[in-house]
Amino acid sequence: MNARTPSLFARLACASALGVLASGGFAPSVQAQGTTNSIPLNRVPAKVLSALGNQDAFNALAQPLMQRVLQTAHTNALLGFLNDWNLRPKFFHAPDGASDDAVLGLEYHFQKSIANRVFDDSWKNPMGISLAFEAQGDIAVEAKKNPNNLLETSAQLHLFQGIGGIDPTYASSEAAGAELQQALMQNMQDKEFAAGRGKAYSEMARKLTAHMAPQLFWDLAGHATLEADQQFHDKQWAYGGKLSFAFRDWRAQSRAGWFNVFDYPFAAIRWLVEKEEFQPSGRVFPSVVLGLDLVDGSDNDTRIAIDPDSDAFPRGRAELAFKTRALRWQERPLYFSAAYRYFQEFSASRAIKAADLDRSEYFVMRMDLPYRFNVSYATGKLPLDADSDNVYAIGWALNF
Amino acid sequence: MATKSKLNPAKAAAAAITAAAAPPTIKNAVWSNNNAACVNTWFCLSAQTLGQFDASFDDAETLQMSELAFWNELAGPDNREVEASALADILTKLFTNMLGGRYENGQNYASAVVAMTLVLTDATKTVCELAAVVDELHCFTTER
Repeated sequence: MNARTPSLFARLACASALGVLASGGFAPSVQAQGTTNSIPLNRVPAKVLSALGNQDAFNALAQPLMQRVLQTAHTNALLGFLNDWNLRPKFFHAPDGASDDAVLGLEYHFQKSIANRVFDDSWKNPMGISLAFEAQGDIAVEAKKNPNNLLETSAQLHLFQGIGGIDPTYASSEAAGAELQQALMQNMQDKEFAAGRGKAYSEMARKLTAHMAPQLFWDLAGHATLEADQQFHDKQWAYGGKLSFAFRDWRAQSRAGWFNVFDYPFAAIRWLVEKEEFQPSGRVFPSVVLGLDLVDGSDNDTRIAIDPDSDAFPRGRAELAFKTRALRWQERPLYFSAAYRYFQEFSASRAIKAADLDRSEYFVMRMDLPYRFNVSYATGKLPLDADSDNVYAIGWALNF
Repeated sequence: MATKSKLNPAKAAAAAITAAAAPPTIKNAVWSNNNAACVNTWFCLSAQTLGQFDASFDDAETLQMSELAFWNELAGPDNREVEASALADILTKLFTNMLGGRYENGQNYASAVVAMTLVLTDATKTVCELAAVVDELHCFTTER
């Protein structure tokens, strides 16, 4: 279903509002359409439903099998190489207009760091440089049912730095560090401490976090990436750079947290339901990625059919991600998660604009519910998707 | 009413030897409260420090990265990477600034952040495997 998508601010406001609704007892009567790791309830046998809270059956089957095949004691170079690809079987579910069956698929993620250097070790906030190779994506048995039909293979050069985190005026001595380390090792012999409970644990945590400060981590990267659908029917090269950053204040009591407006609704839930102090979290500011890429669309058949100009084109992107704890249910945290991805082609032709291929937006949010259920909403499209969808889903998490 | 079974010293000793000789739950990694890397990794990630989980030391061993608080399944890979890097950055700073750790020979801030980020961005890697990498990168005061 095609739909005009609302502004980012409106979406995040809606996301926050939905978080409030969902955590207040959102009725699971939403049409069962899914996202990754979601299965419509009417397809789940009663016996499986009854066992939902106990174990992840697919995980129990798949993980030992993968480990048995790939992590044998006599692992050879080929098996070791395959193991590094982090293959992960998973269920996909996405509406295709004809059927809503879940299909089996495989997720892969390969990452290799080739070289790392640091500019000056003596800096309080050292700056690092790294060269890396990465490949990742999802492959479904039926490509058209793959909700994340985008394979990315890239080489990247990173320049990064974490500013802050520890108070820059604090000068620790090796003796003080050794003393804290020794106290920690001694405390670990105490069962209550090792359970993360008790006065000694809280006191040690207070000592460790006493000199923490707000932290800004930034990463400037240049990359060359091959983007393709899983059949390599549509593929394109992307070159470019990105600046990503994450701001954090890891302390439980954070002044910076008051600027995290996205967490206000969830701080209110925690305050009302958990009887916690009203404190927006400094640990969960949205992370931001800004990118500029030169995309080679000459192998993108859908695009060429609309505009025969196969020259590379510049494309900007902005991506935000947010996750926070809404409340706990039987000691288990229930999170609200959201992500927004925006891609915009610069100086696109009229034909491309008319076909609405010059920009794409994708927004998804999810609220965890008790017993590993969740309710989610997704709208928009990724760059190689032809259509924009609005998908409401209720699912059950399969953690592989 | 349940009756207490008598402790058989021979059986208990045999069980202890079997347990000690058993392979680690995670390949190439041993989770022990006598290992500073394991203890520091657990403590720094625990609820009242960086707030990534609420698990006891014993339970944390098999926790996967996808179960940590920072892991956002909906986020794009670039967002997940920068969030993991921020966590790796503060971890290595806590190890080296607060707990008196140094980098092992051939390791530095950059290699530490990159190596820990690689683990943190892999959904199926465990806290135990992260601790094994932390151990490879850092030399703690208990090891000197």
